[in-house]
Parts: sequence; structure tokens; C-alpha cells
Amino acid sequence: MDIFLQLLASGLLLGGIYVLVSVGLTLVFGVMKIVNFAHGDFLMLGMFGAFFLFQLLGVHPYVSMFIMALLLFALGIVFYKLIVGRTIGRPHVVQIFAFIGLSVALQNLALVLFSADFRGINMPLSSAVISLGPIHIGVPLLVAFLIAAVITVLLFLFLHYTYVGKAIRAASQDRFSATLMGVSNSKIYMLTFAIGIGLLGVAGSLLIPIYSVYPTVGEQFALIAFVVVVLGGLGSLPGAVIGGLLIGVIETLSSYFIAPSMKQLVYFTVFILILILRPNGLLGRPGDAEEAV
Amino acid sequence: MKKRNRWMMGVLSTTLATSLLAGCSTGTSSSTESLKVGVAFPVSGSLAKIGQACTNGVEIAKDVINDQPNTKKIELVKADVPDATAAVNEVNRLISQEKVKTIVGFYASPLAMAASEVTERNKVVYWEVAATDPRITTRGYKYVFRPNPSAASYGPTTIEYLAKEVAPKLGLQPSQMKVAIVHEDGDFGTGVTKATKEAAEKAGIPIVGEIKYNAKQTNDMTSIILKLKELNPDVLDVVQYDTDAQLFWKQAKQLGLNVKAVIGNGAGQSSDNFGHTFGKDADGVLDTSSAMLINKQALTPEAQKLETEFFKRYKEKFGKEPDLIGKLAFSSAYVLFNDVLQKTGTTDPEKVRKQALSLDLPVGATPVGWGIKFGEDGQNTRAQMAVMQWQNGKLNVIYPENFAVAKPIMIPLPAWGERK
Repeated sequence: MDIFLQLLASGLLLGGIYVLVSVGLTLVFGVMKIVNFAHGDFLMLGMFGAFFLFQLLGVHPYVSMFIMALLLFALGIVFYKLIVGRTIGRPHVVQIFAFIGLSVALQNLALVLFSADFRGINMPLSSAVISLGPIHIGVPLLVAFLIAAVITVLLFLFLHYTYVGKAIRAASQDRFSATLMGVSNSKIYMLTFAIGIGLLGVAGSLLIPIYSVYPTVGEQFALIAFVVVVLGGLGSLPGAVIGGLLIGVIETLSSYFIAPSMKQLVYFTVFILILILRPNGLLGRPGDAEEAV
Repeated sequence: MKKRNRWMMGVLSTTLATSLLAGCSTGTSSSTESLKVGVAFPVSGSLAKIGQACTNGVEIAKDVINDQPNTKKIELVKADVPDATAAVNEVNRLISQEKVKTIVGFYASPLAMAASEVTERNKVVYWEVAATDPRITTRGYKYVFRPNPSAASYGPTTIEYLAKEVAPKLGLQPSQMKVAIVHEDGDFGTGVTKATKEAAEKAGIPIVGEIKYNAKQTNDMTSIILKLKELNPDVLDVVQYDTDAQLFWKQAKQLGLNVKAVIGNGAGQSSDNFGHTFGKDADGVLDTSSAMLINKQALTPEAQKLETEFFKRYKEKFGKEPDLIGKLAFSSAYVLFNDVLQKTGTTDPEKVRKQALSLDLPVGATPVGWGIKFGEDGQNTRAQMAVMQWQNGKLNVIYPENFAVAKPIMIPLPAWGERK
């Protein structure tokens, strides 16, 4: 029983990380109907940023979280102006090429600037642990989980109760009617994209006490983020939360009770089954998938 | 517009013509003066860190040769091979377009397996400096040479050390010492584990559990560590890459996994990152691998000189200390450049093969401590593994005795709560 509780706790915490890296992706997906294949690489930039802020200036990752969020938000605007904005309304192949090209460029830029070293930070926080009886909970994981929860709630409130948030939702539901109602799609898209990237600044800072960073670290999380987003339903925020936690728990339980090397088989099987039963994902709206790539 | 086009064409054709001419002139001069050697490592993508270290090591070997008077100069033609497809394409290019007859590569075993088929088919010498897959030298290929040990020798060395040194320190007979193995499930982990299990059976050491996982897709090790707690082994034998080794050790501390000894097999525990990330928490961890800082007394005077020169040049050229794999690449490439190519004076595969097979260097003659004596299969029979240990943030050789620079510490390993 103790073991089961420990596995469940670890699975939920891991799920929290998956939620954290997925919310930005699902937001961009849902509103702009484009697939950001460079999502993992922006996460990599966030992690590198937090790493260097700590290593060179001694900034605690939980402080650099705010700095990185702003920096990546700004970067999101720049990339929207330069590249992403120009692909809106173009054929899907254009969008795919643009994002994959961006991904390759970012990875190799990081390779040139930061070299291929694996870098992790060594601070007491990294291995700090809270013990509740027989259950051990890593502090950085717990913090990441709690902040993921706060972010999701804030994002939800922002989308439902502010004017801009409502405009974003309007644009995601029907971009033509929204335009007729005076919503500027291009501004909404730029804002959404920048928020999606900015969230990765937060995620990167929260991950750096746990994982090492290297130019291709994004691949490790991007695949999972796509699974989470599709499983939860394209563009659905609560869907990403449920999807992330579900994958985290399935992963930990199946690697204990079946075998660690079989866990992907298990969660992809679950993934396929869910998509057979609910083709739009757990909380997706019918039709979203057809509009997106 | 039209005028400009014509002007552009003029510039283009002139540059083309000059570059063609230049190509011709270097082409002829290189065939008479310098020896052209292909260098293919993954210098981009996820294997880039080690691929770059290998390339750097080979480059230093070239510099050392070229800076000596009266040597045939070595010319390197570099290629980037981040994955198996690229490896096949780039090796084809090196052979057909660059007319290279000897290639140094590839570090990662899957790349080596794919690319060596191309080199062998074209009768081109392939000189491996780091890949450890045993199959590289067991397919009956004629032009493959590997100075470094195959993965099959990690296991026997690890088990030998556990039986000879660790068991007595724990007050146990080898037959009472419970060993659990945790390994990544690729060729590397599976190959090392297979040889380890065979060696353990011979030594009568019981393997109480074997847990494997995918190194690239594992973001949490809780379940593995809980399983280990249940197995409660005396000794933990791990075969891990870089990031997974770090995650494992971090979570082992968080979840309070206590064992009496931990021994790694190269890669993850050999990496300088392991020391950087864990500092004092890395202390006590053992690691079987090709040795980095072996006792200088074990080397011949020439090898000692070469080692010093390597460290000096590496720091000057790349602005940082070399890691283990860079030194390995240097040592093996130097044997090729100095002991083979300088003697043959050509990269003709038949002559290179004959010279390589005739090499007979005693143990201690290379900067990594090995001797060189190739078997017919191209595997160096005098490559030797050493056991190292993290001590005060440094990886020191502790076994075999003539290579050792330090005595082992912290066996048995103190529990996490009792560590200073």
C-alpha cells in the first residue's frame, strides 16, 4: 500500500510537469489552429536561461521564473512578427516547414552558443525532500506541481473573465465572426503565441533544479506534450490537465507493475484506446482536429 | 536587371573556375605530400557533446604529428554524422568524393554498425576510437580496427572487482553478495549486462534483479528505485547514459535508496557532469571504464610525454580540460597516425591493414595505458579496463593496482542520512 501511494504521488507530480509544458502548446493549438513543432525548443531556451541566470548571477530559479517568462514572452512576439504571423492562413505545409525549420535553427543555435554539454545545477533544493510517513516527495517537483496548478487556474480565469481573454476565446471559436465583432485576429494571435511561449519560461525555470539542460532536451518533453494535448482534446485547458496527470500516473504505475521499458507501450495503448472511443480527445470539441494541422 | 544578371554570371563563373583550379592544385599536392584521413563523429544532435570531444582529440593527434619535423603530414576531412542515415551518406561522400581511404569514427555504436558496412564494402580502413558494441569486430570484417575495448569487457572487470575487492570489505563471500543491475535498454546497456551476467555466474555472484528502462524517454525513476528498495541488494551495478544517470542518483537520494556499493559502467558515471552536478554526493560511486588519470608510473616515458603534451595542447586549443573520451580518441588516433600511417607512408588499405596487424606495443605504451596488439578480427587484445571511484569530486583510478592513483574509500557506502 505504501508503495502504491508513493507511486501515485510520484506519478501525479510527474504529471504536473507534463501539464506545465503542455498548457502553452494547447493554448496555441486551440486558438491559432497551428502546431508549434518548436515548442520543445522554446522550453530548452527557458531552461538555458534559468541555468545561466543561476550559474552566472546566482539568481534562484524561482525568481528567474518571472524574468524568463517576460523574456520568452518578448521572444514570442519577435518570432510571431518575423515568422509565425506570416504563416497564418497559409497552407498547412507552410506552417509545418516554418516550425520545423525554427526548431532545427534553435537547436543548432544553442549548440553553437552553449555547446552540447549537459548542464544541471547543484543546489540543496535539487535533492530536498519532504517525507510524509513512508512517502517521499521531491521539493522541486512539488513546487513545479503547485505552480502548474496556479498557472492553469490563472489562465482559466484570464480566458473566462477578462475582456482580452474573452476575445481570445471568441477568436478560437470562430475567427470570422470574431473579426466581424471587431476582434483583431492578428493581435489576438500574437498575444496568444507570446503567452504560450512565455509559459515555457516558467516551465524551464521550474525544471532546471530537476533535469539537466542540453540543446536537444526539448525532444524529451515535446513528444509527451503532444500526447497530452491530443489526449486531453486539442485546445482544451482542463483537457491538458487531465491528460498530463493521467500520463504521469500511467507511466509510473506501469513501470513499476509491468516494466520500466514497457511504459511507453502502455501509455500509447491507452492513448489509442481513448482516441478510438473519443476521437476528439477527452474534453475536445468536435471539429477542432479538422481545422488544425 | 539583365545587366546585373550577366554581371552575376561573370562573378559566379570566375569563382567557379578558380575554385576548380584550386581544387585541382590541392588535390595533386595532397596525394604527394599529405595523408588524407576522414574523421566522422556526431558533432550535432543529441550525441554532439561526446562527438565533439572525439573530433577534438583526433585533431590534437594530427597537430602533434604535423608539428614534428620530417613527418608525412596528416590532412583531416571532417564529417558530421548525427544519425545512422547521415553516417551512411557522409561515409559514402568521404569515400567517393573526397577519395578518403582511411576513416576515424564513429563513437556511437549504432552509427558504427551502419557506417562500417559502407567502409568494408569499399575496402576502406575504419579505425574506431570509442564505440564498444562487440559486434563491430565480430562480423569477420577485414578493414575494421578497434584499439579500445569492446563492451564485453566492462562486465568481467566489474565482476572481478566486486569479487576481489568489494566482497571482502563488506565481510561477505562472493556467493553471499546480492547484486542488482539497472541498465538502459539500448545496445550499450543490454550488451554490457549480458557480459556482466555471464561473468557473475562464473564468479558465483548472485544477480537478484535486472531492471531496464529507455534512457531517452524516462523523466522519473521512482518506480525503479522502489523496486530496488524491495530487492534490497548489497551492490548496485548500473549501466547508464548521462542525463538518466543524474536523474537516477538525484532520486536515489530523495527516496533514500541505500546500498553498500554502487558501480557504474562508463558513460553516465564516467562523465565529468556527474561530478559537477553532485559534488560531494558523487563521492564513493565506483565506475568501470577506460581510465582517465592513471598512475603515470604505469606508462612508458614516451607515453607520459605524449599525455602531458595532449593536456597542454587541448587546453590551449579548446580552452577547457579534455574529458575521458577526448583522451581516448587522441590516444587511438595517434597510434593510427604515428605507428601506422608514418610507417606505410600511404593510406592504401592493404598496406595499412598489414602494418596495423604487425603492431606490438606493450601495456603502458599509449597515454590511456593500453598496449596495442590487434587480433585478426581487428580488436585490440591489449585494451584494458580500470575501476575508478569518485573521490572529492574527482574520478580516481583505484584498480588494477599498477594503474591506481588512490585507495578506495567509502566501502561500504554510508547511508544518505549519515553522509557528511
